[in-house]
Amino acid sequence: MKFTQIPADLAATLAVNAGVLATAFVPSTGTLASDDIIGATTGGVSVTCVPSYTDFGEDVDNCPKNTKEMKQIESWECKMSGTFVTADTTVAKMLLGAADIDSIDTTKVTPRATIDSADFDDIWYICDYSNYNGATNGGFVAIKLIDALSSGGFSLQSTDKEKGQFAFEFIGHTSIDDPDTIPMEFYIQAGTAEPA
Amino acid sequence: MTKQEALYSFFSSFGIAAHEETNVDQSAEKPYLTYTYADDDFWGNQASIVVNLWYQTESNAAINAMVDTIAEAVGSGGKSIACDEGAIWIKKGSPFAQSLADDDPAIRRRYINLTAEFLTA
Repeated sequence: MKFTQIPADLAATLAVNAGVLATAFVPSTGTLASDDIIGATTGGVSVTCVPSYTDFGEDVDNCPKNTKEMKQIESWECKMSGTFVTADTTVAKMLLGAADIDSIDTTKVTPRATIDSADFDDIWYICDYSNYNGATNGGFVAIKLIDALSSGGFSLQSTDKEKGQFAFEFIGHTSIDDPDTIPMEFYIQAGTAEPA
Repeated sequence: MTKQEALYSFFSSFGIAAHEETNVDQSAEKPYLTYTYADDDFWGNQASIVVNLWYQTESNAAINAMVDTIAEAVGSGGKSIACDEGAIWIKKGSPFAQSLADDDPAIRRRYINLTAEFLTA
C-alpha cells in the first residue's frame, strides 16, 4: 500500500516508557540524580501545554471565524498529571500545595490557608528517547514545568490488596515580573552510542 | 545488520555461546543459551522470545548470575537493538525468569521470558 509507511528515522525519534518526575534535571548533560526523583508513578504521566485563543474577528461583520490575522493568545495552561504510588512527607506537601512539614514533628504535614511564594517550585518530567538509551549518552525528552503548584490537592485512593494511589495535578505559573515567559520548557536530545 | 544478525549479536554478548532454539548441535558444550527467533515489523504485535539457559553444574550460582546479567542488560525499560531499517526493542516478560528441572541433576536450567517490538519497516 502506497501510504502505509513509517518514517525512516522512526527508531531514532520515539519517546519510550513512562518516564519520571523529578525536582531537578540538567538537560545540558542529561544528568538525573536518583534523590531528585519525586516518586514512583502508575499509568504514566500526562503532560499538556495548551493555549487559549481569542478570535478578535469573531464578532466582526463579514470577517470569517478563525482568521489568522485576528487570532490572539490569551493564556497558556501547562500541566503535569498522573498518579503516584509512593509518598513521603515531601510528596504530601507537594500534593497539598500550600502546606508545611512541622519543624518539630517531621512526620506531620499541615495544610495552610494562604499561599507562600516558596510553595511554587519547578518540576521536571524526563523519559527515554531515541534508539540509544545508555547510562551516559542516552537520549531523553525533558520537560520543565516552571513554578509548579498542585492544583489537584491531596487525594489518596486505597484498594483492598492493591497499592495506594495518590493522584496529582500540577500547574505551571507565570510570574507577574516576567509575564512573557510561558511556564513550560521542552528539551529533546537524541542519544548517541556509549563509549566502548 | 539484519534482524536475525542483530538478535544473534545481542544474545551472544553475554559471554556464553548462543544458539537459535531450532539450531542447537547435540554436541554443543555447556554452558550455552538458546533463544526463539522471532520476526515482525512495526505493524505487528509484540513477539514473545524465550531464552533457555543450560549449565552443566551442581550449583545455582553461575546460572543465577547469568540471569542477573541478562536482566541488567535488558533493564526495566527494555533494550533497543539497532538493525536494518530501525531497531528491535527487547523487553522483560513476566515472570522474567523461572527455574526448570532436568532429568540430569547435574544440569541447571533457567527459562527467561522476553518480548520484542519491531520498530522496523
